[in-house]
Order: sequence, then C-alpha cells, then structure tokens
Amino acid sequence: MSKFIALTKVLLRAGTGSSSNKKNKKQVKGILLGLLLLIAFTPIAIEFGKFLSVAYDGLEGIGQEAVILAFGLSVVCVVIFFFGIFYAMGIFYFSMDVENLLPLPFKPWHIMGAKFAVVLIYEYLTELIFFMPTLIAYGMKSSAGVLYYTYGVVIFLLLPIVPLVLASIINMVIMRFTNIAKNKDRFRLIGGIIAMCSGIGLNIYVQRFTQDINQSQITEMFAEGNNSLVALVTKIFPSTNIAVNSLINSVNSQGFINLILFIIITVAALILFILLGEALYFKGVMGVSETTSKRKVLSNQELTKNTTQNSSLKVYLLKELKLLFRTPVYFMNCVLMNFLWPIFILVPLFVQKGDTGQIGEITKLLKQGNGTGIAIAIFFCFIVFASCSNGISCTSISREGENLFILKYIPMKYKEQLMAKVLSAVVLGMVGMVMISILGVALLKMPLDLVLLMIIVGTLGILFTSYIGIFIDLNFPKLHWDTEQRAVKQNLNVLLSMAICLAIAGVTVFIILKFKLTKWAVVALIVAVYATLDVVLYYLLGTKGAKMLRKIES
Amino acid sequence: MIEIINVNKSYNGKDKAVDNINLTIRDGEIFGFLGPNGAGKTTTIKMVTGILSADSGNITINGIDIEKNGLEAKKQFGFVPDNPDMFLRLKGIEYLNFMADIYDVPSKLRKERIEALANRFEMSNALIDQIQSYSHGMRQKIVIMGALVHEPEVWILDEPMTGLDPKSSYVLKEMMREHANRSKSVFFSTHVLEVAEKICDRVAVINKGKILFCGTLDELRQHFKASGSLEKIFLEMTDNE
Repeated sequence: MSKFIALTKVLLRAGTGSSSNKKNKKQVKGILLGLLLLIAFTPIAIEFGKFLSVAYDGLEGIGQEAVILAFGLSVVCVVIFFFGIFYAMGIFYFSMDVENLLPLPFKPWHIMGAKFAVVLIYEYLTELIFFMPTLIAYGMKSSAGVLYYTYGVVIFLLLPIVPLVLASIINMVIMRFTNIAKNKDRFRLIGGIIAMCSGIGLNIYVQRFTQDINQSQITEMFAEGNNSLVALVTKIFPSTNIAVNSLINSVNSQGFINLILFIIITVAALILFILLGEALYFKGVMGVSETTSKRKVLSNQELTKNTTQNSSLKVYLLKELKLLFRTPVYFMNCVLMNFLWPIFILVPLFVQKGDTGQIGEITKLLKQGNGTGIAIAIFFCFIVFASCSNGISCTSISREGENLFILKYIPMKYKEQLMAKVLSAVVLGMVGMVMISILGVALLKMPLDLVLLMIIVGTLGILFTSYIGIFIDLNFPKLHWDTEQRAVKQNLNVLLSMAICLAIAGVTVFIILKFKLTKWAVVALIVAVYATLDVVLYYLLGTKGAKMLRKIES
Repeated sequence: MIEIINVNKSYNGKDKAVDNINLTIRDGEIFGFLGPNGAGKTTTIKMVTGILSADSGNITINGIDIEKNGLEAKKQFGFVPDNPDMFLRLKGIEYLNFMADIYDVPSKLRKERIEALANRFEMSNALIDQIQSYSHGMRQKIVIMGALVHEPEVWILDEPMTGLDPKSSYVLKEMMREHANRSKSVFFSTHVLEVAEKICDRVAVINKGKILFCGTLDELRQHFKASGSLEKIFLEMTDNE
C-alpha cells in the first residue's frame, strides 16, 4: 500500500511540473490563465444554475424533480466514461514513464492503481463542471439538510470510479490482444478506434433503448409522479440510480441503505479492476514502445523517390502532419477528435426509428429563404467549435516538449515555422469540414451553392481558431511533460482556446440572429470580419509571434 | 570559424551558467570543449547555435552574428545535440530529407550525400525504419548524418561520441579530422578525456561557467608543469575551483 501511495504522489507531482525555473513569472501566468478560464466559465455556470432552478420548479409540479439529479449524474458518468477511454489509454499504455516503472519492483496494481488515482483526480475537475452545479442547485431548491450534502460529498468522490473502471477494462482487454501484433503503433491505433467505437456504440444503444419506450409509457411515468422517471434516465449507468436514491432519500434510512449499496458497488468495481489489472496489465503494456523495423536497404529508385526536394514550409507541414498521425496519443486526441464531431452530431439524428422527422424538418428549413442565413451561421459556429476543440494549433508548441530547441537552431524563419504549424491545423480542420459538407449534401440534400458559401465562411473560421490557438500556446507553452498525453489532454490551452473562440463566434451568431440577417448579409458579415481578423493575426504571427517563440527557453 | 566574445549567461538572474567567456575556434582545427557535468558546456553550445540568447557579448560563426543575422549564421553550421531522441516517429530517410529541405540541399546532391553517409555509418538498411526503432547509438548516428547532410563549414557537436560503438566512434573521429584538414572547423564538447587527447588540436577547459584554460594539450601539460596523465591534471584543475 505504501508503494502505491508513494507512486501516486510522484505521478501527481510530475504532472504539475512544480520544479521549473522562473517560477514567479510562470506562477503569475498560471494564475492569470486560471482567472481567465474562471471568468469565461462563470457566466455559463450561472446560466446553468438558473436553468436548473427553473427546471426544478417545473418538474416539482409533476413530482419528478429528482430527474435533475438523475440527469446530472448520468451525464457526468457518460462524459467520464467516454473521455476515460482516452485517458486510460494514454496514461496506462502510451505514457513514457511506463518503461521506467516496469523495471522497478512494483506489482501491476501498484502502477495501475497509482495511475488510476491520477486520472480520478483529473475527473474530479470534470465533475466540478458537470455535477457540482446540479448537486448544489438541487440541494438549495429542496432545502436539503446536512446529510444530503454529506452524502453528496461521498457520491462526488466515488461517482467517477465505476465509469472509469469500465473504460479501463475495455482498454486492458483491447491492449492485451493488440500487443501480439507486429506493427504495434498501428494496431494500437486500431485498438483505440475500437475502444472509441464501443463508446459510441453504447451511446447509440442507449438512445435506441430510451426510444423503445413509447410515448404513452412515458406519459404514464410522468403521471405517476414520485420521481418515477429517475429509473429511466439512470438506465445508462445502473449505479447512478442508487446514488440518486441515496441523495433524494437522505432524510430517511432508504438513503443510507442506498449509499452503502453504492459504496459496495464502487468497491466491487475497484476489486474487479485490480484483479483484471493483475492479470492483463503487464502483458498488455510490456514492449508498448516497441516498433517494427524492416532493416532493408532502399533501392536506388526508392532512394530517389525519398529524396525529392520540397520547400521548407511544405516539408515542415508534412512533418507536423506525420507526427500527428503517427503518434497514437496525438492521433486519438487531435486527428480523430476532429472527425468525431460530425459523428456525434449526426448519430442522434439517424438512430431515430421510423420516420426521418428531424431530417425532413432540416431539409425543409434549408430550402426556405430565411433559413439559409441561420444555417450558414450555425455551420460557421459548429466549424469554429470543431476546429478549436481538436487542439492541434493550441498544443503545437507544447507538443514539441523538450525538443523545442530544434526550432531554434534550424535555419528557418520562426514565422514560417509557426505558419507551418498553423497550416497543419487548417489542413485537418478543412478535411473535417469537407467531410461534414459531403454528409450534408448526401443526407440533408443541401444545395451546392449553399455548401460552397459554408465552406468559404468555415475556412475563415478555421484560420481564425488556428491563429488564436497558436498565440495561446506561445503564451502558455507546456513543455515539461513526460507523457505525450500531458501535452495535449491535460493542457488548459485547449479549454482556453475553446472559451475564446466560442465567445467570439457566439457574438457573431448572436448578431446574426438578433438582426435576422439574410443569407448574403450573413456571408458578407462573416467574410468581412473574419478575413480582416485573419489578416491581422497573420501579420501579428510574423512579428509578435516570432518574438514570443524566440523568448521561450526550455 | 567561431568567435565567442565576452559572453555571459545566467539563469534566474543570479546563477551564472557562463561567466564572461572568450573563445576562438579557428579554421582547420578540431577544438575540444572539456569540463565536468554542469560546467556550462551545453549552455555555451546552445548560445552558439542560437537556442539560447546570451545576456551579453557577441558570438559569430564565420563572421556572421548569431543574434543579428540568425538565419544566415545557422546555415553555416551543422549541429548535433546531446540527446538524439528527436523526430522518433519519422523514418530515418524522412528525417534526413527534412533536414536537407530545411538547408536547401538540391535533390541530386542530397541523395549522393545520404548514400555516402549511410554507407560510412552502416545505416543503409535502417533508413526505411522509424527512428523510434533505432538503438541509442543508431539514433546518434542518424542525427549526425542529418547535421552533415548540407556539408556545413562548421561542425558543432555536443557529446557526439556518447552511445557510439567503437567502429562508429572511429569513423566519426576520422571524419572530424578530414573536415579539419579541409581547413574547416570542428567544435565539440566531451568529458571523455581520451577522446580529447587523441584528436583535439586545441582544448578549452570550463568549470562553473569560467574558462580555466585554453590552448594545445602540450601547453596544458606545460602550464601545469605536470607529466602526469591528462586525467590527473583535469581533476586537479576542476577540483581546486
């Protein structure tokens, strides 16, 4: 046990990187960054709280107010499970410290457990955003007592464990069996995709499942009152049902029994995790960084093909893209994420059984004159969201890590190097956008001229987020990491970039909706504003950006 | 030729990593930069290569100032950093081609050079594989090849022998000598004294950021009026500081 605790401490400390020079300046910047994020997310949290309060009043009328809790807990579990798949893969298998830990006299569960604890602590942050407001809002509205909050704290601490264990088990099984493959990197990528598909599959399953219950049944449940809907909402993660029951019955013995039950389930999940970890982990993780080699001499022809001359900008861009595609963690978090959004959005549209009601509605809307302006604005906002959340640009300096020095000694202008990084984000963003557009044409029968306009405004949006992203990373580069995971996933830059880009895009869309702009007015507005911003940012990248890069000393 | 004039560098504004050093690495010589761990060797090399900027002083490579005209100065040298773990997910050949593009080496020339370097370092059959699959020594070799693909006038090598097998180490030393014989310069750091003893025309000894000695090895022995081994002289010098 002491080994487990010692290792957890070390891993946590390695994550915060508290041993760097220039501490004061960095601390100030860190605090500023925290404040900025706080300012960015406070309005969202307040709005969310208001929404919950209104929803509570509405639901209380029909005796279903606990649905709020059920919903909050379920959402948090789904989010944790889904991101847990990524986290677990990165931290258990792809982090570089694994190879240093393997020769030490640790049992598999020491390593797994310590890493699990680290992920768990990060998940508490997720809970802070997704669960805390719900918990407090419900408590305040129902004027709950001390017991409610005590139970709340226990549940807050235990809640992420079951979904995380599930995510880890999926990973352990997949990694155990892809480890036998020869080309490990590639098989691991496939493993990652399988893991993610199982996540999406579960999502679809749940959506279908909830739709299987027909309208009259739901009406019946509504009418029943007594929080009967909770059972429906918590079907996704059965253990959440018990947690909700424990919270809403905190005043009587039912609550206590349910709490104990919840603790038992969580402990059982942990035991299962440890047992499976002991059996599967080492076999899956050993040789995780091995790569295949052909050891074959290139023929004269191959050599000629491989030594063609390119411009430095092009070769640099290709290097960025190759590293993004070939590094499993980057591929999963940056490249795949970029293409996942369309799936996320479209899945709910298409899993509906029977009629294609919503799709029909959308198609109709797009044919109408005044709908197209809104459609372009929504598309623009969506593209901005997708391209700033992939984190390609806002981690492009961080991803260099200790190797940042290479940028400094090669004879290539800083401006060009930064531009190549921006372009890598632009290229991938555009591929994603074109993919969505093709889906739009095929499924929603969007007219081609509309799609063309969308691509124009989307491109300007992608350029914008990419410039913003790289400026954020130049300001807060995270260079001291021991695992690639930390460079992209545990990097606040992604959140910051999302906050800034979404706020600006949100204002744009707000103006469009407020003044009910027509199609051409929308296009003109976006093109004029964002083309100007992009040009200004391009200029700043060459002057201010280059200076900032020069100043970063790893 | 490299000229380092009155160069200072401190971290956090107090710990002086490099304390007012002056060095000239002439054309046609192999110059060894000696010193214990943490003496300031790598910091100096990082300033020469433009990775760090000096707090004060001037550094020129072939007469071009690294601060004022960085791009041109960087084209003058080939640099081998102390840790070869870079571009691990690129194939050997992709890395070499990347470097050749960055340094504007024409296709035909780069092909010839890559072939020649690969033969010399016995890396021909590894070029097609990702650098990640290489051993430490092979990584060191590919980084050296990348640094030399544009046939730079000045070689700057930080601990280049680390991890090389005897054969490759011998080849590298041979190449350093050939390069110097063409009246070009080689500036390398090491803490392996035997290496310095065998191939350096001149050496500088640095400790705690200060240059303790600069000259030929014979001068070093005379200076310390010692007939003992270089190791002994070195230990005495760096201990007494």
